[in-house]
Amino acid sequence: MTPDLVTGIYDASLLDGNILFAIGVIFLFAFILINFVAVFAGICTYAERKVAGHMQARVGPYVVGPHGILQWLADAVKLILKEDIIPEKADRFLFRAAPYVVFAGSFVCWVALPFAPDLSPAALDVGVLYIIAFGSSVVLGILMAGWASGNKWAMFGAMRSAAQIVSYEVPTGLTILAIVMIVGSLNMHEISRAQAAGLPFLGGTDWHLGIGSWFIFRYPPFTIFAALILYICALAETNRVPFDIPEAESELVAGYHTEYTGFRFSIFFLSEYANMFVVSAIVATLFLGGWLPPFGKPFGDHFYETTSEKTGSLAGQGVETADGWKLARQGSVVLVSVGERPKHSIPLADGSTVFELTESTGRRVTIDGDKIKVEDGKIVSGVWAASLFGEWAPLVRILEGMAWFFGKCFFLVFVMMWLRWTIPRYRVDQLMDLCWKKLTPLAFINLFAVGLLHWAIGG
Amino acid sequence: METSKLLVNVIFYAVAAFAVVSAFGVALSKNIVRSAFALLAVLFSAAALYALMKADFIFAIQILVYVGGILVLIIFAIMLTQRIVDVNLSNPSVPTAPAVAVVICVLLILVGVLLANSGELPKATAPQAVADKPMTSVVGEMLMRDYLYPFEIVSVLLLACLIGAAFLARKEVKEG
Amino acid sequence: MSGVEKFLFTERPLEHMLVVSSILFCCGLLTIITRRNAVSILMGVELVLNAANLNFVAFSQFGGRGPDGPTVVLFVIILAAAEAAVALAIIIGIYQNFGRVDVDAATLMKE
Repeated sequence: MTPDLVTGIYDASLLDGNILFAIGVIFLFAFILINFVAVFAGICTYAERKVAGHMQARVGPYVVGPHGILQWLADAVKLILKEDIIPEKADRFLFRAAPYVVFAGSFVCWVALPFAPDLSPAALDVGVLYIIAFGSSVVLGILMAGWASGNKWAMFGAMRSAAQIVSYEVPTGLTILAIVMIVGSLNMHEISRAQAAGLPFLGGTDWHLGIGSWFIFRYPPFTIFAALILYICALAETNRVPFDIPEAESELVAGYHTEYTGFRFSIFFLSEYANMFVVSAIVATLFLGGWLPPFGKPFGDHFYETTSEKTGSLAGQGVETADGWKLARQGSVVLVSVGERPKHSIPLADGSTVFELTESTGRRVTIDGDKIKVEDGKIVSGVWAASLFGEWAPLVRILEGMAWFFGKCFFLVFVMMWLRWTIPRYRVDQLMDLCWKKLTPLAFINLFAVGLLHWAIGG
Repeated sequence: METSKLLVNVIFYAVAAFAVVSAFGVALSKNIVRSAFALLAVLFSAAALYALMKADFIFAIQILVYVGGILVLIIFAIMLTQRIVDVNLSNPSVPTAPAVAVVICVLLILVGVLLANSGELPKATAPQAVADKPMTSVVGEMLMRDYLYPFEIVSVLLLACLIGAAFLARKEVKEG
Repeated sequence: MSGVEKFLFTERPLEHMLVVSSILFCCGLLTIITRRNAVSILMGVELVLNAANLNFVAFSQFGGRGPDGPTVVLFVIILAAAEAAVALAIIIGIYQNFGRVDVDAATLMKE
């Protein structure tokens, strides 16, 4: 179940047959995702108010439902019922279109996020670059909103916000570049997978140290700085405190969304929380291991590991290699790479079955007893489901991956909310000073140091 | 026709139509901000066409640089060179007859030459990026091998342009 | 139906892409020729550059010209960014000095 819809359109074996079925599948994925985003953003509003309350030694919303748990539904209904006002001097078409451009910019990034091993709506090869690119197209929606409001102050707020976001993209790109340099790929799943093993400077490239193998601890002082710089820039990209000058209540009324009411305003709100999740997901994937668990071997088994050659580190663990024959335990899921990248994963049913890997390349996996032979390919990774899951193993793997991924992202979003009620906001010139005079040089030094360390002692 | 081919065709024609309509919007719109946002639509459509041609790296770079950089610059320049209180910034285009005639002639020549020689064009082959390596690594290797010299020159040029643009746009400090 | 199918995008991708890029080029040309605002002319130039980029990638992908296309497109995008930055800086300078960015009115040097 690895629907890669970008390249999958061309070799759409998944979609052959009915054109309506094909379009239906695409819309189904989009529908599920957008519902999840909407519900997530709604619950985020409730969580923000609860976190704010408890940080300030009060309880927050308490009335609507037990502990105020239905407050976000009440807020959503209230926003939908409010009167929809379009100012007289506004440019009507652009005024209506702007919230959707902003939301589209945030939402479109969700399709490349690695929710579970090899499970995302589009496992793009340029995943990280794609997310940064569409994150920066949010700026245009903001400018559109500010200008189309016909309000001078909204315009100023929009220009400040645009300048802030565009400035903070520079350190973002540089820190992401440091990590991409270590991995050698822009694919989010590859980046997560590369954090499954190793602490090269201790000599153990195959040690499964779990949390110790994550990139945040890979080259200790520099990657920690990189993670912190990326998180700070993520705060600035989403206009959160301490960088929320564009929407500060005491400064510009509400910045670029001053003139928006009702449902259009709720779209802006939604897209801010969606953006927060996306940038948290970037930090989680690049530095905290994505869908990897913080301990090495869940349920007593390897979760994911990589081998480099035919004599891989899987020796003695149930997979041994001799002349291209690989062993696997029954019920294993094996990834076979043709060329350089893993293409498909297939469950092995029983010892005498022959599988065709891909229709186009026709590589064959022959299973004989508990040995597999792969012609013209090499086993890249092996995954064993715990024997207590049997044939539910792929589902368990997906659920466990999603649990870890969402756990990390939710924690980072919580820290963003925590910071909002902890530190005061920056003035505009302090904000720009921080970006250009402090974070950008630090990010450059980081990039250089990480590159040097990776060349010297990297795996 | 197979589903995948039908999908590809539908997507191509939709995106191409959107691009053409938006390009006309850029050329003919009376309001300069609207023509800037029509340019946004053209750039997004061009990025979609790159993705359709399997040039995924260029798709991401187009959005990152063109939409997130150049277009933001253009909109800032529009805002800074007009009185921004006035929403209907009028910018009439003057499509005088000679201009339109010249453009139509150019279009006819281009399309005519293309269609006349279409027999000699290379046939449709499978797009490159599927085969072996991701396009990003292919482009990266070419930059470091065949295009190393232009790459270094472009880096110096970018530096010069950045410094020059920052210098040109600074506020004049009146002396005395 | 097979008669029509021969002329669709999947059978002749190169020609379709080249026609689209020709149309974009001509729209850019129209913008450059008929507009008076300097920023609009710059937008026309960007349209022309995009049309050329589409050509490069189309020939590289569908015309069997190898992986040179996307690399050259990368260079074109970089140079377009540099040129837009300098051009807009100049335009802002003109605005600060003359108060308007009308190219028909910027005739001071002629006197």
